[in-house]
Amino acid sequence: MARSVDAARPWTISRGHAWLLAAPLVFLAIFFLWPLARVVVRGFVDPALGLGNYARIFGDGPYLRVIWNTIETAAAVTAICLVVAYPVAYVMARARGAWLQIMAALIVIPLWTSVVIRSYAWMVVFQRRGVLNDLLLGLGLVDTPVRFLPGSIGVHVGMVHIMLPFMILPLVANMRGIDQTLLRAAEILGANPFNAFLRVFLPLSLPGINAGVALVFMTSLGFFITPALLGGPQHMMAAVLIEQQANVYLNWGLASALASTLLVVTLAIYLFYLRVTGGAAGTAIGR
Amino acid sequence: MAEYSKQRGAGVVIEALAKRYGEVEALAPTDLTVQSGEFFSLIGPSGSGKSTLLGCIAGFVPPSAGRILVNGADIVAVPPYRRNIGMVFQNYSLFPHMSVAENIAFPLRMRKLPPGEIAGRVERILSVVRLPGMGDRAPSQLSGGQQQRVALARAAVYDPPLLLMDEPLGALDKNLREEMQYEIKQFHRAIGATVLYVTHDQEEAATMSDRIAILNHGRIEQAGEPRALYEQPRNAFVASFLGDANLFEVRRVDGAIADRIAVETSDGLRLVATHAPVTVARLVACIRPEAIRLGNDPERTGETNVIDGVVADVVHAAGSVRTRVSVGDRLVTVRAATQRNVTGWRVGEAVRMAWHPRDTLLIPKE
Ligand SMILES: Nc1ncnc2c1ncn2[C@@H]1O[C@H](COP(=O)(O)OP(=O)(O)O)[C@@H](O)[C@H]1O
Ligand SMILES: [Mg+2]
Repeated sequence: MARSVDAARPWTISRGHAWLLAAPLVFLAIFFLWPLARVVVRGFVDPALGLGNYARIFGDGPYLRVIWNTIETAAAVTAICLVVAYPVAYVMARARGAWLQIMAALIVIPLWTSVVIRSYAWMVVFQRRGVLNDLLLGLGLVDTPVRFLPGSIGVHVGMVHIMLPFMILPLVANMRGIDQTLLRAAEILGANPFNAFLRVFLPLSLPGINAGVALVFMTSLGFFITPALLGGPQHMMAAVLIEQQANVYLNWGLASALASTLLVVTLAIYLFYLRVTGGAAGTAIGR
Repeated sequence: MAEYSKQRGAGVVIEALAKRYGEVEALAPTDLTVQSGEFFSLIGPSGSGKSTLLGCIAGFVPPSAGRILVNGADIVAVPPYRRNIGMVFQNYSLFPHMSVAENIAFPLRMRKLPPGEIAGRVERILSVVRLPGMGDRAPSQLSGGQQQRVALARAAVYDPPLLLMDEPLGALDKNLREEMQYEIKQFHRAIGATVLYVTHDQEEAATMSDRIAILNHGRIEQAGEPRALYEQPRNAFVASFLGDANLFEVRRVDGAIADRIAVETSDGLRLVATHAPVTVARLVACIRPEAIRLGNDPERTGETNVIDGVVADVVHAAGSVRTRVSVGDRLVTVRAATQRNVTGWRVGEAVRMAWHPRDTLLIPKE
């Protein structure tokens, strides 16, 4: 449906500037690719050469369930972020001057606080004698404190809170670039405000949606601290499981295989997404 | 131009229409009547209120006061999408995510026409704007002129009785602009709609329009046929905005004998005119560059305006020569058609300018 606006190749680098990439490439090779390769290999050789680790993962155990739960959670968090962020971004994209500054600050300032602190803050809200339960008890909505933690509600709320800026910012960047006279054109041509939004604004904001969705979904798949603090065994996510296998049970081989599986799943979903969106997700960030 | 079912353009009456933005009076209370089928241009310097007036008619700008009657009905309270007005924007404003055909079909789809009819209409209007077979292209694959033609087609495909154009050729280069001026005129004749056309280019307005209104500081200084505005400007602003004008401030009216009125300008020149407005305190003498004849033979009957000067520069443009003559510390512009085998004047040469009293227009300064 959305035709690529400019068919320019997003991945061209002028030849004279290619050497600028040498240092980061060397850095990536030493500190990322090499350890990554070791992790992948380890999944096949530790404790014994073969597919033993993968047999366990894809066997009856809890592992596949955790990976599935991870994808589900990341998808839900992404969807909630999109629904919440879109109207916020819409308002921000139209704001000028002081209002814009204030809104941008409200979104960026939480990023200065570490994820650990923000996750603990949600524990304060959700725990047995926390802010939320006090409120519910005070209003007489419940008789005994609700057990929110550990569990999926805390994980979802905490992750949405942390990921929201990463959905809002690409959306705002995209929406600010949408020519307002296009909406006027749509209206004078006979489109009521709803149709003008649906047929002109929404399709033109797709690159922003794609960028935000890709960013939030990929990041959510690897979330560790928030599910570790708020999720517990009831709502285990892949990164927590991997950490546990490596640091608690010293199953380095299984941990490596799990990490490799997560990587492949992430890549597969990303490639599928690129296909569906016609490559727009990759170029959206640069727009 | 391909054939097109012609319709009747809307008559537009604007009554005491005004728009304020806080302290800024973007449009002073304005009255204007545009006849059915007329090509009417609004011209004026940047910020004079042209887009504001057009925006009020389109429905994007809520007026502070006044009425807008289209075929007798007041449309001020009608939202833009129900006004059934066509509009062409300066930067084309084609939807980049739609093909040319989808762009043109957009207003028809909004009007819920059957798909078969939509396809037929799109095809027909594409041939009217001479872009047959281009329907599948993306707007970005077209040249500026082609995009503008698509914008025209999109604005006219639903037969709006009134077409608004806000500097539609502003983004095109000069040659293309002239070609498009011609095409828009042809298009106007083909569809028969009333056109309200905004431009800051007075030449463009003069070549295209049945009538022109000149705006300045949010008010209409004068409205009328291009020739009338040129020959009988109501004041100095109109005179200088439409075409070139040599303007001299009048210091004193020396008196009239028969139909000869002698005045003295603030630079001490003595000029003779045939008419003067009676009640106006501050006058300006306006002499069009092509009314002045250059020579060094002073004795010529009838040309009682004579001023001596020195040639300051000579510019040969297509078909005409523009000579500027310095008189005291000011320059007077003279224009004449290029003649074969006649050499122009040399810079530094003493020269005499002469013109007929009826070419000295005495007009109010304000
Ligand atoms: N949205 C607005 N807010 C405040 N002032 C405006 C707005 N739009 C136009 N103006 C002012 O109104 C005046 C007329 O503007 P405009 O109609 O756009 O002029 P033009 O189209 O002739 O260049 C200008 O002084 C402009 O600054
Ligand atoms: Mg304007």
